[in-house]
Order: sequence, then C-alpha cells, then structure tokens
Amino acid sequence: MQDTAPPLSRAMLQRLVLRYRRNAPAAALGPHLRRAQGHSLEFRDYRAYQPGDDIRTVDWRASLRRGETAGLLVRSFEAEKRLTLAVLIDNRPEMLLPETAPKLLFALWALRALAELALAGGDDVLLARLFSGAGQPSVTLRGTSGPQQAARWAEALWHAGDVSGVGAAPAFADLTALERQLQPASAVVVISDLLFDDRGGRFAAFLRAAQMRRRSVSILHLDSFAHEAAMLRQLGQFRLLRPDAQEDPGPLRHDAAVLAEAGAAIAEHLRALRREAAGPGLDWPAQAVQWPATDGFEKTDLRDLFAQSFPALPLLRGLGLGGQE
Amino acid sequence: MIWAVSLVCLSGAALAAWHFQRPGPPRVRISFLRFLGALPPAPTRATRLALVWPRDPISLLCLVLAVLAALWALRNAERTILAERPDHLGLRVVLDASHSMSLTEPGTQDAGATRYARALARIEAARRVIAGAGPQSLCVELVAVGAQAGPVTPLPADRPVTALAPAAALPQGADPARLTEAAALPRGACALSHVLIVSDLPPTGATRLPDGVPILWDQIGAPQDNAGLRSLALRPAAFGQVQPELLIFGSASAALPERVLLNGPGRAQELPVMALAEGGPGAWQAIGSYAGPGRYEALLPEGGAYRGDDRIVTTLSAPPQLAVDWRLSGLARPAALAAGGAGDLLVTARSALRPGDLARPLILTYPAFSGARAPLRLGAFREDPALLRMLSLDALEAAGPAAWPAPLPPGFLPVLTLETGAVIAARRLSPPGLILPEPVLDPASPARNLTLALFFGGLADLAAPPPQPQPLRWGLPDGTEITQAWRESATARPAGRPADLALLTDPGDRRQTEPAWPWALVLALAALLGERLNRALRRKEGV
Repeated sequence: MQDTAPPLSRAMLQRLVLRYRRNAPAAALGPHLRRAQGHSLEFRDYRAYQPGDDIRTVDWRASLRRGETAGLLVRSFEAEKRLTLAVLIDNRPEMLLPETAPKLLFALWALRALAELALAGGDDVLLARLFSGAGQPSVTLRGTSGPQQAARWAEALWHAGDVSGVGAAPAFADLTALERQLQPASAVVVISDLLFDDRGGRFAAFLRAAQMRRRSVSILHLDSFAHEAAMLRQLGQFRLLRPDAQEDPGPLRHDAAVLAEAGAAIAEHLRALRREAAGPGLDWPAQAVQWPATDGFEKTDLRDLFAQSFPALPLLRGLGLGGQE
Repeated sequence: MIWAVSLVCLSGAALAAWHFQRPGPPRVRISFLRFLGALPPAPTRATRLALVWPRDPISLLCLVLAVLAALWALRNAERTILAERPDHLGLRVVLDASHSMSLTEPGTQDAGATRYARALARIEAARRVIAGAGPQSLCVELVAVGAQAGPVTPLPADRPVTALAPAAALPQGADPARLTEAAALPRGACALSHVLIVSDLPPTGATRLPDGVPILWDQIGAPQDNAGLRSLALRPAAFGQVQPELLIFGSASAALPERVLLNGPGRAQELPVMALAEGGPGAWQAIGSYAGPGRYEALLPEGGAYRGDDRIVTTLSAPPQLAVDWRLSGLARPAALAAGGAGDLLVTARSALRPGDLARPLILTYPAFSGARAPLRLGAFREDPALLRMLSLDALEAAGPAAWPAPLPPGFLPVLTLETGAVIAARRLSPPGLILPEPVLDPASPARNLTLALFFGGLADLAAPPPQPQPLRWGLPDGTEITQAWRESATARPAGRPADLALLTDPGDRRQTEPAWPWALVLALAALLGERLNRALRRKEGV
C-alpha cells in the first residue's frame, strides 16, 4: 500500500462527491463558473446579432419571423466549462515533522483525496509544490488516469523528503509560472503549516494574485506547534538539531516561557500573513487542523485524525467540486 | 583457556557498556525552530554509565547468548548420549579352578556334572550374551585361579573356553581373596568393561574394581554337607601323662562324624570325635596317642561330599621332654617332668632362693597358709586364665591367705591382691616367672585344693608348651596331593542365585560422548541473527 494513499474508503470519497456537488452554492465566494455562453450543442438563448458574431450562428428562420427591420437573431449555446482545482503543497523539510506523525503525510493524503474528488466530478486538477525540490514541480491531471498520476506525484514528493534539511532557509518554486498555470475562475488550495519565512512577501503576493480573475484561494492550515511543544516538555532535556548552527549548543532543557514566546511569535506571523494575503477570494478558516497537544502521537493516530477531520473541512463546502449542474 | 576467558570478559564489558549506558538527551527536530528563542542548557550529568534498564533488552539477551554459546564451543563442548549399542565390551572371566569345583552336582538338571563343567558352560553363556549385545568391539580374557592366580589368557571368539581353560579342577585349595586379586590383575590389550567371577565360593561383597569396573559374581554349585580334617597338633607329655598326645581338629557342616582313623607307626587307632566349644559351629576334635616318630595318617570315613579333606598325612618326630629345676622340699616333682639344670624352669620356695635365681624362668612360692587365718576380702585382680580359671575366689577369701611378705621383685606385676593391696600372686613376662602361694599338702586343710590348683595351673602354664600344629599333606586315597584342601571344606555354604548375565551389557556402559560444539556454533549464529532481526524490526517501527 502506498504511504500517501488517503486513509479514507472509496465509499466515503463517493459520498463526499455527492454531498458537495449537491450543496455547491450558485454564487458563493470563489466558486468557479458554472454556466456560460459557449459553443456546445445545447441551445441556450437567442440574442441580437452583433458585429463579429459567427455568421453560422444566425438563425435565419427566426430572424425572418421577426421581420426585416428587427435585425438578425443569433443562437447562443451552453458553454461547458471545467473547474480547475489547483492544489499547492508545502514541501519544506519541516513538513516532515513531527517525525512520528509528519504533516507532509497528512498534506499528501488531503492532496490525493481532493484530486480524487475533483477528478470524479470531471474537473481538471493541477498539483504543484510551493518550494523547490526534486521531481516535477507541478502536474496537471485529467480524466480517469488522473488518480494514478496524482499517486505517482505524491509518492515521489513523499520519498524525496529529507528531514535533515529542517531549519534551512526555503527556496520558493517558480510562483510566477505557477500563477500563469491557474485558469480563470478556478480554485486554489494551499496545504501548509505556514511557518516558513515569506521574506519579500512573494507568497502573499502569489495568494493575492491567485484570487484575481474570479479565483478562490482556500488555506488548509496544519498546526503541530502544540504537539511539538508537548513533546519537548515530555523530554525535559534534548538536543535541538539546527543545520544552520555553527556549534552544537549542547543539551538543552524545556522552558515553558520560551515556548510561550515562540507560540506568540507564530500567532503574530500568521496574523501578518493573513493581512498581507487578504483578498476577495481568500478562504482561510480561523481553525487549523490541530495535532493534539500530547506526546505519543503516532502514524495510526494521524490516520484517525485525517479520517475525522478531512470530511468536515470547511474548504470542501466552498470548493463546489464537480461543477456541472 | 585464558584467551577464551579474556575474550568473554572483553565482550561482556563491551556489551554492558553499550546496553547499560544512561540514555543521552535525544536529538530532536522541531518545525517551528525559527520562532524558538534560546533555551537554557541542561544540567551536566556526572556519569554516562548507569545501572538502568538496557536500551534494548532483547538484543542484549541475544548477544549474551551468542557469547556464551561461542564460549561453549571454544571449550570443545561434548554431550553424553545413550548409544543404542554398547561401544565396547571387555570381559575378564575369573574361573575358580580349585579342587572343590570337581564336586559332582546332585539333583536332576545337572546331576552328574561337575561344578567345573558347569562353570565352563556359564562362561560360554556369558560370551554369547555379550556377543549378542552387538558391541562395536569385543574382547574376552580368562584367568584360572587355584591356590594362586594363573596367567591372563585372551579368549578369542572362535575358540571354546575348554580349549584354553584347565581341563579339570586343580588339586589346590582356593581363597576368595585370590579370586578378587585375579580380577584386578594388570590388563593386557583388552580394555575391561566387566569382570565375571565364576566360583562355588560365596561372593566376597566386592562389586567393583578400584577403577570402577563392575564385578559380577556367579556362584555355582548346590550346597552339599561335608566334614573334613583341618589340622593336627602334637601335645608333649606333662604332669600325669607319660605319653604325648595327638590332637586332630576338624569341621562339619551337619552332624559330627563319629570317628577318625589314625594310622601311626606300628598301630592304628580309632578315635572318637568330640565337639569343640572353641572354633565355632561344627568344630570338633579327636585325641590320639603318640606312637613314636614316624608317618601318621588320619582318615575320616564319614567325610561328606568333598573327599579332598578326608585324609591327612604328616610325619612326626619325637617331642622334646620337659625338664624343671625342682627345689621344693614338700612336693615331689611330677613324673613326666625330667630333672633339669640351670637352663630349665626353676621351681623353688622363697626361702630357698639363691642369688641370681631371679634372672631365670622360675616359679617362686611362699607360705600363705602356714597358720590359722581369718577370712579376708580380695581386692583387684587381673584376668589370667592360666592361673585363675580353676580357682574359686570365694573359697580363697574364706581361706584367708597371707600376702607376699616382701616387695615384689623387679619385673613382677600383681595378678591377685587383697583388699589391702597386698599381693597374693604375681607374674613376670620375661623371663617368665610366677609368685604363688606354696602348695598345702595337708589333706584336712581347706587350702589344699586352692593352692594345688594355683600351683599346677602356673606350672602347666610355664613348663608345658601348647600343642604344636604339624605340617600336613591332604590327599586322595589314590595319592593325589591337594594343597590346602581345608579351604575347600565349606561345600555346604548357602548357594546364591545365578548371576544375571545380561548385566554384562549394562546400559550404564553405553554412555558415549559426541561433540556438541557445532550445535553451540549454530546457537551463537542464531542468536546473532536474532539480534540483527530485532534491530531491523525496531528500525522499521521507527520509520
């Protein structure tokens, strides 16, 4: 069994597809285009001819019935447009932590589950990583082969992870190129712990740009701070691995005040990021997916956490996956 | 071995150092590292090693097991197994070839067969038993024992025992000790696992040789009543006897024989047999007259089953005549005692003692009943059967003897004393000497018998030597001489059950050893493999 296969049954995924197709709002914030004029075979409406219209669309018989002075009528048809769901994943080494229940694993489970939901609804899916690393930076999925492609891409990302790089300064992927890949009126989901240093505001700028052109941006925030703080408290004494440190500071001991300061700094960092990324299409719930604030959280516990939290994610309601109605 | 112990100690120390070290602070990574301020340093620890629960008990157990198994293998481990077949059987047969083995067996099954023939048959049976056990190697050797043990003779499987054993029982008397000595004779090429003693004698109780080889005693022969001649002694004439006497001693397992025929120079005597209190049950004696120097032959007409002890022959010379230097005035010298000189026993009264007489063998008398005496009480006395056996101490107290009137001469020790400590009789061992009350010859005196018993008891003790056993030759009427035939007389001894010859293939001797170090090596390798698997499983769990 693949490590990145989401711990959800096929039946559960199908129920989710049906639930969110039925509940998709007609004009909610950020949902992609549902129906528009286009070139399908399904008749939509008549309208007056305007210069530039395709002469083949003129309904001559209807135009004659209106009379010569009324002008020509052209037929308009239903345009069947696909949703493009872009899932962007944080692939920093820090996402491999906590080592017993890595956030990256949860993120990849969510990525593959979202991709399966979207593909099952006939939508296109774009998978991309936020930071530089090995393998393809992005992949576009469509049709029945999409889930297999998603699995390969996720597995490659999982196995390319190297926890030894924790603490090193991250390098963003080509966010400009990524932005160009986003279709109008598509949905963007970012899965991350958001603890990276957005020096220069590149990530915030990307989020703002992603919200343009009637696109929505949903944030799936993974928060393991409380759990890792509990782990340090439980250990009492430990050595912190700092790849950027010149000298080993030696064994350290837990200090609640220092950790409280770190929690406050994280909160401030998130508030600032939220401010900078704010826009008309931002869906960033206040409640993150929380790792429990206790020690001894293992992979099996992480599976349970995913199985409980993913079906209830607010972003599923906002996305309206499977956009045809 | 030192290097093996050093290796184990080194390995043990390394294992202990690794598994009993105090766990150091774990190395951790956290995802919010860049938000974390400076944490305080942990207090410095004193020692790294501590008696804590091992870091990995299963791995430690596996490694300890591997080290122990390796040490076991290094010590060239062996294990004892019980082989289905004995590896080797080596049998020494000790055959009693003494003359009593020539007895024919009564009864029905073996009637007419001699004990010796039966013994040979048992030996053949024993050979078949050990050959049937299927040993990988087998050897049998034979020792025939008469008065002495014969040579150790290998007994090849293809030759019957009759070809190597004496054809018949030897005309010799055997001692059970000779049989066990023969069992322990130095070994030749045959490594012994068992010893089989075939004899008509009862077992001596020895079950193993000094080196642990088991002894199986196979007693043959049914009990058969017997009477035999044991010894002949010549008693010189003394006191009232004028002729020496021949004392013939014998034994009987049942009823005593009625008579003994004694043929001497010029005459034949038929001697009645008298039971003898001393010598145990069945002991008897017969007394004959000495008829002068010459050849004597004693025959036992009713000698029982074994005939070899029914006839003895000896040649007697004239016994020396006893002589004393008699100086007693009132009592005459006994007729059987000749008048001696300065080299003979001196019998004298204290009053007639001359200078230098105390250095001779002597009997010294003193007047103990010369006047009227009041009854006295005796004091301490020493056991001296020659003096006191015939004496009534009550009568002596009533007679009231006087004590030796002077200090005892040098070398004399009191034998009989009064309550006051005064000495009545005393003895010297070397040269022999006695101090005794003077014989009272007055027939009316109550002390007469007392003094005569004391005096003649002492005189007989010093003057008459004990009967002298004579060298004898036992033999059959046909002239066959049998050495120490009296040793064969006990043919009526109780017969034990026949020995279980299957014990000659005792399973205890099937124990074998085989090398176990390959198994120890396999165990060590398995332990190492277990340790590696355990480590791998732990690593997999940690991913």
